[in-house]
Amino acid sequence: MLVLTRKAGEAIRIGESVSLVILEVKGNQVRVGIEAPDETVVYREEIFRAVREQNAGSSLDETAGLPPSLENVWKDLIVKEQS
Amino acid sequence: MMTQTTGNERTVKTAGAAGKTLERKQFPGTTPRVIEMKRSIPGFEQVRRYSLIAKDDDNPFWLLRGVDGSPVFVVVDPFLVCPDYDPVIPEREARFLELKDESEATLLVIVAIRREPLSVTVNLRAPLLVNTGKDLAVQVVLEDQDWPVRYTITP
Repeated sequence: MLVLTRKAGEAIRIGESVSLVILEVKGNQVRVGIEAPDETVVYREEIFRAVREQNAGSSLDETAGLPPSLENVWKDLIVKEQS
Repeated sequence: MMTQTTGNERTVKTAGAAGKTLERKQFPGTTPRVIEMKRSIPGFEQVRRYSLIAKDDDNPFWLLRGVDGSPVFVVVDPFLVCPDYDPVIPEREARFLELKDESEATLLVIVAIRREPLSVTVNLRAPLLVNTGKDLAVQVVLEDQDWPVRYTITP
């Protein structure tokens, strides 16, 4: 891992278009400003991981198709919505 | 180049109560529609093109399936399963998806099905934002909003 030491107000450039600015250091917290193009995702690592894991667990097994019990769930939901 | 400082990011309401029934019957329609992920769905980085398939007009659950067969997601209009859902879509994501106005935007959420015991949840934290005019989509992670990753909709 590359380790750089920075002070508040200083920045780190990553690639051609991403810049991390250290805004504030207070106790054990650091506020970081990020300038990045729209196509670059900027997420807190743990939130990104939670979403990725949830996605992976949400894909239905291609060959199994939809569980038959789901049909009932769907019907119930439709009834609930209409009532 | 368009840049944005996330700390000071302005946000835009891309959907909300007004978007609740937005083109629900017309979109995607009963014929599969090919949607391109402008950024891949995390966990499925190799898949960019998906078919969005409605089972029939009355079923609010649709399938979102990679054009080569996988992955297969069940997706649903979040406002149907959580009437209080009121996410704020970051402006940079709306811009990235080339959304010019709200009427082009539709939100879908990914359904997770667990068996034994059966539970059905939707991911309200990371909805799919769809540009219905251009058939583009992106999964938006709502960074600093507290919508749950697993919101239970099992009756």
